[in-house]
Amino acid sequence: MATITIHYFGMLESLTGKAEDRLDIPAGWSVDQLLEHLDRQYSGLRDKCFRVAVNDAIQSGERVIDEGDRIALMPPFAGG
Amino acid sequence: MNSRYDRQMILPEIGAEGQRRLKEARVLVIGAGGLGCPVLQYLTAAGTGFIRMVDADTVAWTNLHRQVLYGTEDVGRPKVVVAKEVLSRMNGEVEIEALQVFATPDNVFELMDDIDIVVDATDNIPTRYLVNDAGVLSGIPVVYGAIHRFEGQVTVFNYKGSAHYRDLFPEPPREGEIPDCQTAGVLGVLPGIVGAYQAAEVLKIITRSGEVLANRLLFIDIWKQRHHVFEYHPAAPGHPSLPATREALQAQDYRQNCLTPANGRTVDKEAFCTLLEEKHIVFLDVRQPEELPRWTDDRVLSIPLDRLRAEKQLLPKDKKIVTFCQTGIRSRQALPLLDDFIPRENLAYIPFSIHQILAYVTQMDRR
Repeated sequence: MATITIHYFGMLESLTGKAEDRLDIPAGWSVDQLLEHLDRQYSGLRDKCFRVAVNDAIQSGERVIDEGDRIALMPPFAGG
Repeated sequence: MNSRYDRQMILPEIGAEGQRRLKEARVLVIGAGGLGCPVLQYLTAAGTGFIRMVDADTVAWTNLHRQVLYGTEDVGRPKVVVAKEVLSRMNGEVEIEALQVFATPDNVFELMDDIDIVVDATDNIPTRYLVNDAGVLSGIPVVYGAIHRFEGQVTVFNYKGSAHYRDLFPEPPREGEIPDCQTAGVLGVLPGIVGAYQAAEVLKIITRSGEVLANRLLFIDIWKQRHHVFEYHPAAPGHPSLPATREALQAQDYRQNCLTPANGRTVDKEAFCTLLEEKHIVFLDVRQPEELPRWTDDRVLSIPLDRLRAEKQLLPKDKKIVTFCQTGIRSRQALPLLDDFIPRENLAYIPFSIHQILAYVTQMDRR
């Protein structure tokens, strides 16, 4: 198992109802696998437009998640 | 010269040389709203040589709590006209050009003509893609700022070859997915802060000093005090969705193509496994031929995204078309390219990666 923190920004905070989450996930999960898991918890999440950062660097879905990683889900903002 | 700029010129990082560069600089500010106001004020105060500002809107009551160039008397007047009056009073040494238009594919290159830096102070996603694309094609850095309720984003695109908006957000959101200030609300001070950050990036770029926020996205949350800097990089294979030429940009419908239709047609895992049983279906691979792994199946057809518009005639019109790609991004971008050719109900995309597709195919084969 790996314990990670997930930060939700913008619209995703409204969708999940939280700004931050701690989660235990199986070791070796990729970002895509995590998103699939989160999508089951927060229906429609996967369909939203956002990028995933792991430890403050934007990563692709194949990136493997490690113990203690800080995950951030960042959508674009429109307002000005 | 009077002592107007003394306090910034005694900074060794600016100095007389930096001030001279400022005087020679030509900046385009797109949008004279919440972000545009502080950007314009600080660039004017700092002694920027030439500022072209662009906004077709008039001042509304609902603007006044955050758009601090405008007052009660100005409601109903064109923003750029009022802004020019106020800014000229602030600093008559700055040449200000006020254009009461919106940036469009038709005028954007003209607006960027003879400009050193563009500030994206717009308020909607399609215009952000437009400004980015035109900046990239014109070889001009774009200083981006965007806000949502109490949160803001700042970064610099296309600075000495750095990443740009399509590297950060390759796939556009759906129509209505990302609310504007009108829908979501905004605390007046937030664009003040984000716009001031944008102005700071402009000053650093002009004076060739400091660390420019390129390849890094600054995120601020003034309510919960969450502050982060996220690194991002140019995407390796480039962007099929970035227009290759000015003519291609001008031919694009940004309103249409930079938002995915709200009734998006996504194929989730379950739907995908059902589709695997179908015969009258084409799984359309929109990746480049060299991208691996390949999916070998009689129903798979390969047309790379950048050739899709030209080669869509290869697709059967009587079958369901389901697009896929390496990560689930381009598969979505393919839909608007096919919308006028394939009936909507026959068109969908797979939002997950080729690796997941192949894993599901293997699972189904085992049954």
